[in-house]
Amino acid sequence: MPYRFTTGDLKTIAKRLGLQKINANKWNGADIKGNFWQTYIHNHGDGAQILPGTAKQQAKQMGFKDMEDMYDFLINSKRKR
Amino acid sequence: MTFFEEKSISKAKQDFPNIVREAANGFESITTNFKSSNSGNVSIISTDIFEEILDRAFKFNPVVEKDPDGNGYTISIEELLIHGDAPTLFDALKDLAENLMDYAQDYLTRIDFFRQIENRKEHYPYLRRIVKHKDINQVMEVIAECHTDLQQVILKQSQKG
Repeated sequence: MPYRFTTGDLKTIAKRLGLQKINANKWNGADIKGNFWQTYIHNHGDGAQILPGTAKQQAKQMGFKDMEDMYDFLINSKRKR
Repeated sequence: MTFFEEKSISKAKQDFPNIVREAANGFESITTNFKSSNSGNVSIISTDIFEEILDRAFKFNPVVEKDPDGNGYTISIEELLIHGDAPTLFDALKDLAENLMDYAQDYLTRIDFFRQIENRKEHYPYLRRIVKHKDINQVMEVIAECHTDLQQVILKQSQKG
């Protein structure tokens, strides 16, 4: 199943993970295991579709196994990292 | 004869002008803090040799992914957990280079922090290669050094002016 994310989805995910917005595009922060996660989210408006190749990288950059894992985190608001 | 006699800090202080002269000629000096078991050895070597080692051993392997719907390109360097994207391949490479320069500057500024982070500590040699370049075009060339398509796109862009 192809997963599609918007800029707004990625911002929601980053915020729920506790990442901070550092500058126009850069978000970063640490998890409780001491890993440091950093990703870049272009601000084209919250409804803008993210390229699948970019979403795949953003998933890895935020510590998800893959895009499916990141999608599961997005739709399950009770899920922790 | 031993090539790597470890010198104490006080001995290295006394010999420092000589150590620097020898390093410039290709010799390596190793300094040890014999009073502390926590601090590792420190090598003093020529910057040219250090950068030559990095340039040979830490090549970038960018991966290009084209959007199947034709909306753009993503270029990633997976070993550094970083990417760039844009509607054109050239602009995606430029975006990646900007992100990489930003990360390299942050990393080298806070290297004591990043060297303790499990998923970041191995990024140093790659970022040390990047941080010596001030010009984004040079950074793009370093990223593209092992990728023919990216080299072609840089060449085409430079021919356009």
